[in-house]
Amino acid sequence: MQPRSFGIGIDIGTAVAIAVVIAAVLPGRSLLAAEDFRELRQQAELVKSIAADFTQTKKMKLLKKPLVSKGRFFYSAPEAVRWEYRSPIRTVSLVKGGGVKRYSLSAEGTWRADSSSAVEGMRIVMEQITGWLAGRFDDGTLFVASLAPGERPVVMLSPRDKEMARFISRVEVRFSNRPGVVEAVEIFEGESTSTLIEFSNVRLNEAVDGRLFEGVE
Amino acid sequence: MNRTSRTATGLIALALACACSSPPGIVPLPAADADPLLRSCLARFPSGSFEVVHAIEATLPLGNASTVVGVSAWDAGSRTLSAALLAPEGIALFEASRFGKGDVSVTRALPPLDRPNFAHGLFEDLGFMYFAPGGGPSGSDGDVSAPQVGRYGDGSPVCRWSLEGSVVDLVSSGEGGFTLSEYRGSGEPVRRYEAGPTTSARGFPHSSRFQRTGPAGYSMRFTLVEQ
Repeated sequence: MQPRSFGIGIDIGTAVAIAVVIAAVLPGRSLLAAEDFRELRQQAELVKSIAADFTQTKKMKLLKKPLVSKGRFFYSAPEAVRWEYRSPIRTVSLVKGGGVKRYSLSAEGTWRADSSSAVEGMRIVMEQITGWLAGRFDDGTLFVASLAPGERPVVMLSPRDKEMARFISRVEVRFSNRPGVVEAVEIFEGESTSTLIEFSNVRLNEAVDGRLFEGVE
Repeated sequence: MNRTSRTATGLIALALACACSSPPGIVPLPAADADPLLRSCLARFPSGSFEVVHAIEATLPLGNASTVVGVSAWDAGSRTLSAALLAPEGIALFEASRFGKGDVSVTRALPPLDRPNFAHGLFEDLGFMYFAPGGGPSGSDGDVSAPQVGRYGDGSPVCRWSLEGSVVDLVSSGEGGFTLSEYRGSGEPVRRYEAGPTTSARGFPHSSRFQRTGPAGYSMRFTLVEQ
């Protein structure tokens, strides 16, 4: 039997999810107003930090009831991200200096780093994330963004790549009535499989402790 | 190498070969003692349909490690098994089903989980954990003989299923815990599943560990999340 590895798929899954969340929490008002991506880029520069809680609801045919996860999210310009799940399992993904690390709390109660055999795959996705952080939605390599205007507008992200489209059919970013605040993002992975991430307690441009991006504790 | 050294080396090699010449020996129990133990062994594989969600800490060859969410659903009667692996961030990495002894039907597999051997190997391992060894839910029908019941040399009670080319031993360890070990006919260990000792109200182990031996060996630590 050949050795098996979980590496690449997990890294892409992690990175895409991080990318989607970052895209979602970026200033919605800019997106909604922006027919012009240059304006969006300028608006993105105004965001220095983001902090939010989130509830993630996973639905798939195999699950009799949705799997609910909870966590928190931090961003500090220009490129530091902490994406942390606090239940039912604890993981922390840290993005800083172009690198990505993920840590999981083991059954023994110690944090262990998830290793990767697919650094290249992660690097490609990180380039996309960096672009979004800089407000460059129009030149992303992985997704095409389009806007459905309305009282509660929705931004739709469609994968450019056929391989990516095999596991993510589309992403919907739903904005709240509060200008600049995203209410939810839903990732559709097929007919009956989706991941809904609902944000709460979103704080923009408040002080964020830099240590949050340095390690898990 | 002198003659004495060659002899010593030969004896060591012979001893090692003998150590792996067959699975651990068991002494059969008299029927009066065997029946309760057999029932206890078979109770480890309850009939019915189940669904569980685990956090899985996988430790892979070359020191690679990853944590995923595992969803398993199975029906013991039909030996139908469905499984999904999710990134903690929710993305479904792998999803497949197998009906009875049929082929694994993969509905979703991100690279490298789309490798030809991955689905088959995963379902072999999950089947090992969830289904009684052999053909049916009791482990005693189909083309497999009823398990042999006895004790190891150290006195541990064991139920042994003799399969084609291997044997599977179930040893109870404490209140709810048990260990399943598969050995090739030569005695070489193939895989091992340690469950418990504590279990949920529905009888699922809170914690368990699977290990496949050999140069491409790997292990998975399961922590029960939902049932």
